[in-house]
Amino acid sequence: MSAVVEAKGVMKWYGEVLGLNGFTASFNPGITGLVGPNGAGKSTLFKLLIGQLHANGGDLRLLGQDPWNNVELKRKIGYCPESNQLYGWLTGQAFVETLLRLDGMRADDARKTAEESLAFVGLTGAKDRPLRTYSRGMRQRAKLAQALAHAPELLILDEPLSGADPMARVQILRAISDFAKRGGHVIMSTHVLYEVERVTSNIVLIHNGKAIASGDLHAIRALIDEHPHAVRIATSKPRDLAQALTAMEHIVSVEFPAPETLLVRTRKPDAFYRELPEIVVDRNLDVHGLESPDDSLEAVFRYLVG
Amino acid sequence: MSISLPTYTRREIPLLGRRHRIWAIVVTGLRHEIRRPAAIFAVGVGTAITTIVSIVFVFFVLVGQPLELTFFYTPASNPAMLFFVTLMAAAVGAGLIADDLDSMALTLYLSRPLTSADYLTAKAAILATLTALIAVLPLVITPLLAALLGFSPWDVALEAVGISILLGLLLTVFFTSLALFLSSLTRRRAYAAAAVFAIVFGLLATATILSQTGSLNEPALLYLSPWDDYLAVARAAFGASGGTIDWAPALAILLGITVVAALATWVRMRAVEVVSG
Amino acid sequence: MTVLTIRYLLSTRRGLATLALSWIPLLLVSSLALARVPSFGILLFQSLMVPLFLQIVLIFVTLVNATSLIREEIDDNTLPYLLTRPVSKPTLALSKYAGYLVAAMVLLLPPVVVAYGVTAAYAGTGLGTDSEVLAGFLAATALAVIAYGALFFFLSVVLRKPLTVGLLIGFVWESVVGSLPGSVPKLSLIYYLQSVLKGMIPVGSLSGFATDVTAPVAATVLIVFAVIMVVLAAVMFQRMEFRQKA
Repeated sequence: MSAVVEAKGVMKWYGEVLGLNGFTASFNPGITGLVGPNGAGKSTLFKLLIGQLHANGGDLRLLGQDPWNNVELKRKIGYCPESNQLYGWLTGQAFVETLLRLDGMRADDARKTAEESLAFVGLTGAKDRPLRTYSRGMRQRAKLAQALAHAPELLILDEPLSGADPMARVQILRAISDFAKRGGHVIMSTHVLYEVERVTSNIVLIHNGKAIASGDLHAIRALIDEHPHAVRIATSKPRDLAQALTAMEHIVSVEFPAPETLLVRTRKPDAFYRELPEIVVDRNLDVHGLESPDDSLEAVFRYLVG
Repeated sequence: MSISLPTYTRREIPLLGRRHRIWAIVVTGLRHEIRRPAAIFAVGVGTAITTIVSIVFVFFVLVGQPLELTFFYTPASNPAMLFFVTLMAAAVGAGLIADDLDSMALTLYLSRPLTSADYLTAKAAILATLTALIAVLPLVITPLLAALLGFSPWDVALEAVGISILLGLLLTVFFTSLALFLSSLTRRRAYAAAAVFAIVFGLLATATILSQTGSLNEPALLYLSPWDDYLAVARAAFGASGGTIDWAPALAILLGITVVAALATWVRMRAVEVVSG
Repeated sequence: MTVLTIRYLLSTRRGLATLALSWIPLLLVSSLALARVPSFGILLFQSLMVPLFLQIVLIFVTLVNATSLIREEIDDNTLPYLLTRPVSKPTLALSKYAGYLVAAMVLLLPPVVVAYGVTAAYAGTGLGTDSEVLAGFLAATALAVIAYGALFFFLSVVLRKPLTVGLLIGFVWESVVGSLPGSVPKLSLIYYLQSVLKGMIPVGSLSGFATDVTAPVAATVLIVFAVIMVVLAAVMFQRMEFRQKA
């Protein structure tokens, strides 16, 4: 099957601010995680996909069609926005039912389908309460329910786990997985890698409005592992420790940026952390601080961006 | 091998008194509100129109005649002042509390050592400062200008300045209290703003029509209109003739509404719950 | 969409507030009747209803309702739910306006009828005696709802802060324009509403309005104006992009 979303050189400006900067990527069938730090352009891309914004340049295709002012395409997509604001005065049931009526469903069918959809996300007990009384996790699930209710081909989820409590997260991720198992496609955005890892290994990395990597998560991680990983160690004998560490074949470099401080770069951080305690104990060294300035998604992107 | 944890020390920062906390809200609010285009328009144009009308009146109508105290009733009764004060109350006052309710900034205020009275005092000070620029400033500028140009003796002008300040403050506190009360009722400033206009001009229109000959012919109905109440007080203060209602009940009505609205706002703010989602 | 809009405008707290406001003229005429005011009658009813009901209450109700149709969806970040339905933007806009029309008519027409009934009952005349007054005010109210609603609806689509402009137009321009010389008054909606009233109510203070347009022409102008405003609003809405606030 061809890509669900094809983007070629997509540009979007907000005045002088660049939302998307020549974004080029393909989103394959199945579940794809769109991963990037805050302000990377994830929400901008989603707004372009649902037709809320119009691209200033480039070509964007959703299920093979231009999404701008494309009414028929809306039948095939379900969108879960990032914002937690809902029609507070409607009950959960009325909320999903009303939106189903806008999809063109008859009243009776809309009512039954809304009930099923709310049951799918675990909101049966609260469906007759006004949305303004819902907790954050419940609102997330209500948003997911309205996105799923009309059986779309593609779900577009903008930060679906944001603000959700652990139980809600489990339910939301299970709903996404079940939807994908039934043949649906999902594009979900997040700035937290491990959330995506639980449901898919297929990701697109976005940074500063550009796609900087796409494909299998493990392949990307292996790519990152090729790049040196920095670890800062506070010790009273930095030179002794450095001498011991340089014996490891995966150590790339050792620096002394400050007194009693050692900065090590390693190609294999897992192996490094496994072997370090043994070295410290064997040589009776004193380590009173250990931190990794690279332990962040930002650092990952820095490696990839160069 | 040992690992030691960093130690933390807590800096003791002396907390300032309530007066300072209120002042912080006032300064922040004024800086924000004075930049609103509607506020700039109301203050700039409102002050200019009221002052210019008075000066034109002096130059072209009363040239050669010494200005007495009664003359200064004219700028005080300028309908443009009613419009611009109402505009200020709607443009700025309507959002002072409503915006905090909508954006849930109220939770930030409530989590500080501030009482509802402190909060309202600060908000009232913001609106009153801006409203006074329209209600007081032109009325003060006109007699001073007249005295400087030699059209009015200084003792008359200074008396007019004193009366103008009091009258302007009366109008200011009334509109401040009304606007804040309406703002506390909703989280959408638009509705509060529309309500300010509707109440002020609705009462004015109703009272004017009903009091006229051919209608109910009952001048006492003019007490329903805040603007007519203000005019009655201004007339008495400047010794101008005319008018059909007495200043004392008019003043009582204005002050009464001011106090009741302020109390209602305070009670409302103490009862408000900010539901976050 | 129309039904959702009607429910929102009528059933929430805002709907109750506008309902209460729209019954103020009725409260006033009832007070006059209960106070047994000798001069209260159909002439005073006419004198009161134009400035109080048409120029204050109706403007307030149409302003707060029509400006909220699109602008509140944008401000509340609920617009994506509508934009992701298989409904075109112009259809969404027109459906919302239709919902507003129904809600505003429900809010504003009954008080006119009841206030007239109270007045006629107090005066001891039958309901049919001054039926042209009732018909005139009902027609003017309906046309005002249509025309003002369309104007404020258009403002809410094109402006980020439609209420300030709406307030200035509705409460200031419409009030003072009648005193301006020449043909300037024709640049207001109240001029045509007064023409409708004058044409339909030949006797009373309303016949003194300074208008030279017949009632049918005035009604046509108001409806054509409303159609143009709504079409423009739909066209602008179709082309608009929506950046959600943070």
